[in-house]
Amino acid sequence: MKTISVGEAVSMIPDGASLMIGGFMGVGTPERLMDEIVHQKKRNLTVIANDTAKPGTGIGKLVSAKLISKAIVSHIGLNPETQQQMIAEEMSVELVPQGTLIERIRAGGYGLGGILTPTGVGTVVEEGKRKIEVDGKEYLLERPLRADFALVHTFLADYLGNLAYALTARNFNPIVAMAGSTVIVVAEHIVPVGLIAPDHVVTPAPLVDYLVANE
Amino acid sequence: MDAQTTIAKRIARELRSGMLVNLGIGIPTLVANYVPSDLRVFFQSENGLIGTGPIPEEGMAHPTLTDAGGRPVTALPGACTFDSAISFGLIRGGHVDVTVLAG
Repeated sequence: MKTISVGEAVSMIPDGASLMIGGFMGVGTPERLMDEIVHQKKRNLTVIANDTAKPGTGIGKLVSAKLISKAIVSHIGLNPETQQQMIAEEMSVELVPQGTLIERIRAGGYGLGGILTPTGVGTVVEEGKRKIEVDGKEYLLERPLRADFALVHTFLADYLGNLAYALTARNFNPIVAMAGSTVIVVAEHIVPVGLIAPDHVVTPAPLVDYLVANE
Repeated sequence: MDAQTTIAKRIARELRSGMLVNLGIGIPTLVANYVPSDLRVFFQSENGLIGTGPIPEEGMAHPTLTDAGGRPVTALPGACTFDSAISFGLIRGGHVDVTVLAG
């Protein structure tokens, strides 16, 4: 694990990269990374996240700057700019049921070949997917998701990279931290090693590649 | 009493102590206001909270304590937070007793 500046962190991300980003309507999204991606104008990004937030918040900043070419998200209903770019075919949007999306990311991070879920059986969600019957009940095979980078927000990080989250900012963060090839973390507080009790560590340090230094 | 209040009060009568309840956005969120104080109902917010409390007083909002729409909420004593895999495991896995949806 290395501690680097926000500029160095984002300079590692090439145009065309796939990014998994923590957060739920902007809550628990690493805002400093969003601002720096806009500043460095990283383009043609694939974003995998719960949502695209609202204009001016979290992932909504990337949308406004037209940096996303593909979004795999559970809803875009609260960001009219995402809707406009989708209709104008500037951004492709794959909508995935929220509970299926998080399990696909979990499968990617946990080394699974996918998950079987009843969500979407008998709806448009099942189109093009394998249906598998288990004990008389039908499930859809949903494929795992991984990304080049996982961008994580946490409440506490120690200098080894152990992470502890707070309140509703946890959401997708510990799951995406397992599924990105390179994991970059922004912490509200960076604390000495040993301060986070072992039982309170949610994301183990070896998963974290880079911790963004606080200013 | 307006129609929304009537609906919310009627639904609140269906709830019992110990139930885990997921409230949708809109009229469903009003239901929490009409649960008698002697009932211990657990309200889930699917962004990762059980024990969702009322909207905070002005100036008391916490930036990382929100409902699924990103609006500030409070957490009652005994509340707990968790990630999205657990949150949807609770829902998909059949652990939620009541869901209230708006049309």
